[in-house]
Amino acid sequence: MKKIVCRCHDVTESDIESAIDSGYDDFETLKRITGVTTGHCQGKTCMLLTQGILSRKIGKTVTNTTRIRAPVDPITLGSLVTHKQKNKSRVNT
Amino acid sequence: MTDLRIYEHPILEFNRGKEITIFLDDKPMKAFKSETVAAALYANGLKEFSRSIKYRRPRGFFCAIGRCSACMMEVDGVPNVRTCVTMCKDGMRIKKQKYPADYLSPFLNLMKLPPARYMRLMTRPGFIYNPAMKVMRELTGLGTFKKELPEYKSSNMGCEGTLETEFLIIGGGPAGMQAAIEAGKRGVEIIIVDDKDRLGGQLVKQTHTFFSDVKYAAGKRGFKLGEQMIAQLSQLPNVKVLTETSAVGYYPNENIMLMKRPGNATLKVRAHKYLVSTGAYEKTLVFENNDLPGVYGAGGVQTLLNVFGIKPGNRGILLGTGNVALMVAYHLIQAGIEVAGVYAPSFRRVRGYFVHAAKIQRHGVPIITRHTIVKALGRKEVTGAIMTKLNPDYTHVKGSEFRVDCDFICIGVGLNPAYDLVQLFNPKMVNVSALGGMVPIRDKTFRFTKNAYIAGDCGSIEEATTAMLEGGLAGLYATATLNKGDESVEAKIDEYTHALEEDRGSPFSTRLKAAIKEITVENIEEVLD
Repeated sequence: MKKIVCRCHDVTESDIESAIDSGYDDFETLKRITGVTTGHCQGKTCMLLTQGILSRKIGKTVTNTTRIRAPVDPITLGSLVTHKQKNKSRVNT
Repeated sequence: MTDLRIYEHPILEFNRGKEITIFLDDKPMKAFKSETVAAALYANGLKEFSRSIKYRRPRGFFCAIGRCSACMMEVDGVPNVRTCVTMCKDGMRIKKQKYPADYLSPFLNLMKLPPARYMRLMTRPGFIYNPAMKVMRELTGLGTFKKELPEYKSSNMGCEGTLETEFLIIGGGPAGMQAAIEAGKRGVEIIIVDDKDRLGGQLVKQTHTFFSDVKYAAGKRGFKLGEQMIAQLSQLPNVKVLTETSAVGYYPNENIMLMKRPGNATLKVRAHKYLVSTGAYEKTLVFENNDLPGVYGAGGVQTLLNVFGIKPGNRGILLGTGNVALMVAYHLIQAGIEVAGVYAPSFRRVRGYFVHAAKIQRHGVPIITRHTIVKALGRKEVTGAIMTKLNPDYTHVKGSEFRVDCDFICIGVGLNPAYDLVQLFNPKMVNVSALGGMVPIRDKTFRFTKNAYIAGDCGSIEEATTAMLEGGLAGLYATATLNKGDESVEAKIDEYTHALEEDRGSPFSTRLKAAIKEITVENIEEVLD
């Protein structure tokens, strides 16, 4: 029976609690050790939940968040390729 | 063959388009042209879409609007495609992403290692690290590349080039569309993008009538209003609509917005002004088995029901008493689906509007406050839920657990502003609980950086009407700074500001109004430095 906090990386509530217990009690280190907010969705489901758990555990309100980086949606590497010829004509027009 | 599609609905008519066939692991399935892959698979009775990365737990879709990661599958050989925003094409081949670790999952599940421990596994001595990583990569992960490189087809892959425009609107919901209408009427060159196949945002799923000011939207059903706005937009030749296009990144130094286009392509857009109206997404709850297929966001269920006309299940429960939860309960009843109850941890009155609460209670659905969910039952999909009573300090009342039989659970506990794209503009962000979460500091003209405006739910969680008004205002302010338009701009701004004040005038909005006042500054440039 697992209480999933981060769906992308399968981080459970007990994972986060045990990490906080072993001393990772601020948002940035917690993120690095458990991997919450670093999945495909970049913390769309887990960020607020993690903040809630951390606030509850250390007894003060945590409002830190992580920095979102582009791309925010998964894209293929191939889609970034520029066609030389195609691009030329587009730029001219 | 199961078919969960609804063919008779009291209000909606589903225009599904041409019938086509898609293949799931070489098994043919009936689909329609206007359906997303996830919707078509769900209609055919598939609930498990993928397996989770570590414990290989079954996952169904959750949000249905392309925000979470639960519905990723392999589509036409491309791994990790969000199927809930990918449209069906005839002969499409979809595969579940399965890996050797599926067979090992029982053992992996047994190892209850805390993260601080498993991060250090197989790292000492140094020489075993690389071979161990190789094995682990084979076992887990999300999708595999083919051994040989795919053939480079210039026809369907790559960057489509750079577009220039005056005003780029990201998100074609009520806010974005109203901004496009107001600015477009005054001759501003506009590109409006949306990641769905149609404009309208969440309006397309609202079958209830709106209330508030008759001048704006009231007395109309949400989806009708959406259609009306789309019709208005189509008459403006200077507004270019790009659907199935999602903004994935903004690069402030180059002033370029990167877009994802259908079919493995990207597009760059450079604009003088931007409007971010990306809306919001569902908040979730932590309870046992909260990722089981059958636990959905309320918005996801609404999409299934009212956009695609697909039954999410036969009997469900709702968590939360906000307007979203109440509305979804009503939409479920409309479609002939049994609602076992609306449960909420709130200790005061029901948080949504009385009208909506009364409407569902008239249909015999109980609204039960001071209760919360403990766990979802079931192995591969939801078969029930264990609920419990709450003490005033939000601890569980011992011995008060009871079982509710249901085959889906909707979480409608609130919305969270979609702040991801906003943050790429480097604004000053604050976390305000009254507004739903992370929102940027803005000035009176809805500007949050030098060239970007914000409107709608991604700036503060409110309603469609307020989103429309905000969008209209942002559009007008952008028009003014672009030196377009005429004297009518200022009069219209006054009108909208007044309407917005009135809309937020109810005692429900006191907290919200105070919060908005707090994050609104006189000069945005001072805040940014």
